[in-house]
Parts: sequence; structure tokens; C-alpha cells
Amino acid sequence: MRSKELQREHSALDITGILFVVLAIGVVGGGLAVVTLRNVIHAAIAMMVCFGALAGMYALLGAPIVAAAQVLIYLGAISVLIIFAIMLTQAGDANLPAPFQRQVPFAALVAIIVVGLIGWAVFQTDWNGATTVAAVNLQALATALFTDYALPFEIISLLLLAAIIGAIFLARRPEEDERT
Amino acid sequence: MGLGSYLIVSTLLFAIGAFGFLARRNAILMLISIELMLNGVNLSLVAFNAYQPSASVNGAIFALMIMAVAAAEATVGLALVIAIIRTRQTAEVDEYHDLKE
Repeated sequence: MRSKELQREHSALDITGILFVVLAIGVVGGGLAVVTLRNVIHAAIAMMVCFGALAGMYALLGAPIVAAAQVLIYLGAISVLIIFAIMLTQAGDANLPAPFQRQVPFAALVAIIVVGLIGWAVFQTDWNGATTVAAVNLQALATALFTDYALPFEIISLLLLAAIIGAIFLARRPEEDERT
Repeated sequence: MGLGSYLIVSTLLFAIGAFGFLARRNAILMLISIELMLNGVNLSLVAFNAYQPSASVNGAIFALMIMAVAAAEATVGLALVIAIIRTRQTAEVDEYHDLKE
């Protein structure tokens, strides 16, 4: 299946196909590195590779605004947050504990079932209408965001505020409680 | 280079995230695995949006909203993990068994 796709790539030899294969290798390889690497900080770097390749994939799909948001939010904010959390909590890489729990076979089984079911559904479905990529119209997106989706937009701003206050409350050191 | 290839990549990313969440022992890596799963879903939404016959922006807006919710989730989740690690002195989730005893 994979080789058939690659063969189609070589026959077509278009830049989109080559970019897709490179980015797909980046996404899946980065994801696999995240869940298998022993050192947590290496896994965080692999996560950044995975998210960066995913941003390229969004650009390939004609959604540069989503790609920009991916770079800003995931590569910029969440990666830095996670790396800070790792540096605050990990005590060096002197004695790395075993990375996996005992239920690895069960977890692998769940992952294989998910891939099997969704992959079967994807290959069974006839995507004859889906052949060309339509670029996202930025003006239409902005208009929709502030008219049809105005309420979810405002609710998300409230959610972010609640999350910030909650994070400050949770991560506060316990001895500061006595001063308040 | 149809919709199916993007959906397969998205499925693989989701499955890798699910595996990581169930199998890893480190609490921070479990959170990273959740982010991988959310990104897999995002990729499928953007791909469906791009391959729609009529021009649409709904999938892109869903993806942006998921990113905002994921940012909120990562903030609170990491704060919780840091608070737990501060009291337990370990990031390994199988060491958190006080309620079992």
C-alpha cells in the first residue's frame, strides 16, 4: 500500500507529492520518537519536529492561517511550556527509569485496532469528490469567526482565562498559602 | 495525493498518541501524547475542509478552536503535573498509588 503510493509519487513526480511524503515521514517519525525515546527532553524535541512537520502539512492543504497558528501555539507556546516543565521537574539524566509501563502490549493492541478500524474505513470509502485542494479564504474565515462562531470564540476566551487562573493557583508553592 | 493519504497520517498520529498515553510512565510524556492525539484530529479536520467540493472555512475554524482548547488543557495539565511532582518527588505515574493502599 505504501509502496504503491510511493510508486504513484514517482510517476507523477510533482512537488506536492514529494513534500507530502517528506512531511508525513516527519510527522509519523517524530510521533514515534516521542513515545519511544527514553530521555524526556529528547522526546520533547521530537514533539517539536512532529508539530513543525504538521504545520508544513497544513500549508500544503491550503490553510496557511492554521499553519501559522500551529507554529505560534504549538511550536511557540506549548513546546516552551513543556520544556520548562521538564526542566523544573526532571532531576538530570543520570539514572533514567524504564520508559514503559507493564501494559505495553495492551497499549500497542489499542493503537493497532485504532489504525486498523479507521484505515479500513478510509480505504473502503470512495473519495471521488475529493480530488483538489481548495485554499482557505482568509477573509471568509475571519468573517465566519466573528459572526457564525462569535459565541464559541468568546467562550474560548473565557476558558483560557479560567485555565490561566487555574494554572497559577495549582502551580503555586504551598508555603505561599499561609501568607494569604 | 488524495484525502485518504492525509487521513492515514492523521490516524497514525492519533494511534501513536494513544499508545504513548497508555504505555509511557512519565506524566509529562502522557500530556505530550494527548497533544499528539489532538494534532491528529486537527489534521483530519483541515484535510476534510481542504477537500470539500464547495469552498469552506468550517474545518479550519474547528482546528483553531481545538488549538485554543489544547493550549488551555496543556496549561492546567502541566500545572497539575508540576504540583504532583512537587509533593511526590517523582514523575512516574505508577508511583502515585496512595489511594490504593
